[in-house]
Amino acid sequence: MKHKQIVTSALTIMLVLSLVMFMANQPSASACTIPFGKRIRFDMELSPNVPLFRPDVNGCFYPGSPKITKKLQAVNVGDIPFRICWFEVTFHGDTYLATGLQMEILELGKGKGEKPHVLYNGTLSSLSKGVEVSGKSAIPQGKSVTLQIGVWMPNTSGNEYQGLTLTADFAVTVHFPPVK
Amino acid sequence: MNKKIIFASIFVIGMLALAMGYGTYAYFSSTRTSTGNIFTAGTLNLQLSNDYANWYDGVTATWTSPSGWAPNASFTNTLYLKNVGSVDAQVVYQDLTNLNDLDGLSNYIQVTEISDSIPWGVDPAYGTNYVVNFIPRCDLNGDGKLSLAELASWGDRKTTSGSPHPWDITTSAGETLTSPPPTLPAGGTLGLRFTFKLMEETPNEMQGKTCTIDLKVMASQNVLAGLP
Repeated sequence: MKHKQIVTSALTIMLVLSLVMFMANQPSASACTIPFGKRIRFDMELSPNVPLFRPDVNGCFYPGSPKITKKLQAVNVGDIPFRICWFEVTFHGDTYLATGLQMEILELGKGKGEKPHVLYNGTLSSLSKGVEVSGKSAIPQGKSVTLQIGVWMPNTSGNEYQGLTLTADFAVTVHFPPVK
Repeated sequence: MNKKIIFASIFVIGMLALAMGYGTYAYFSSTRTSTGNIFTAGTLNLQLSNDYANWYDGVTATWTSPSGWAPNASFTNTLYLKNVGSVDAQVVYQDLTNLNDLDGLSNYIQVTEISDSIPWGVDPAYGTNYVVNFIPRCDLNGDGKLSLAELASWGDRKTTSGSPHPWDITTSAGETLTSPPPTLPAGGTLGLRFTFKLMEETPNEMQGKTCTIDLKVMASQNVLAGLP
C-alpha cells in the first residue's frame, strides 16, 4: 500500500515538473501574449560582411612572412548586452595548411591606451574544434567590439606547406548574460 | 526500508529535474560567420637552363670540354637559374657532387672562375669571381690554384655543427640578407658561370681521359641553419 503511495507521489511530482519545464522551454510566442512583457531580441552582426583574407590583396604566406592583420567588428543589433564567448573555424581545401599558420585574435579596447585583450593565440587548425574565449567587455545595445585578427606563418614552417590553399569560414559566437 | 524507497524516489526525481533544467536554462547566444577567407602559402621553385630559353627541373652537360682540349686552354659556360615560384630566394647554395674520375683528371682541371650574374638577365655583367674565396679553404696542395678535385672535396671536408654539410653559399660573404634585392627574386633569373682550364702541367697520360661531375643548386628563402 505504502509503495503504491510513494510511486503515485513520485509520478505526480514528475508530471508537474515536466509540464512546468515544457512550458518554460517554449519559444517566445507565449511571451508575446503577456501584456507587461516585451519580446527580447538577442542578435549580433559581423562587419565588414566580406572575406577578410585574400591572397590577391594580402599576398601569400611563407615561413617568417609578416603578420597579416585584419579587423572585424561584432555589432550588437539586439536589445541586451553580449560578450564574445566562442570562436570556431571551418576549413575547405588544403586543410593541412592550417597546421602551419598561427592566429592571434585580440579584442581591442575602446579607450585611449587601453591594452588589447588576447582572446586567442595558437594555430589556425586548433580553431576547427572551436575554442571557448572570455570576452573582456560587455557590449551594450547598438555598440560594437572590434576584433583584430592576425595570421602569419612562423619561420619554423617548412616546404610541406608550399603552394597550399585553404578557405576558412570564421564563426564568432556571443552570449548573454554579459557578466563573466 | 520505506525510508530507503522514499530517498531513492526523491533522488531519481531530483536527477530528472536537473536533466530537464539543464536544457531549459541555457544562455542566449548568437553566432555569425565571416566566410570565404582564403589563405595561400607561397612557392619557391627553381628551374634550370643551359640556354636561357628552355627551362627544366634539371639539365645535363652544361659544361662540356671542347674536343681537342689541351693544356692551358679554357672554356666557359653558364648555368641559368630561374625562380618560378612566388617567394624570393635570399641565398643560392651550390654543391659539386658525384665526381666520377677514375684517372685523376680532375686534379689537373683548374677552376678559374665561379661567378654569378649581376644584374639578372641573359647577358649579365658578371660580378665577383668567387674562386679567390675558395682557394684559402680548398687549396689542399698549396699551389695557389683551385682544382676541380679540390673544389669537389670541399663539401666533404666542411663541417657545421659537427656534421658534414655539402652546400656552400655562392654569393659574396657578408651579404646583408635582409636587404633588397634578394639573390633570386620571385620570377627572377641568375647565371652561374664557371670557367675551367686544363693545367699547363697536365701529364701526357691524361690524354683522352674523362671525368664527370654534377652541380646541384638550391635556392633558399633564407640562410639554412648551420650555414654561413
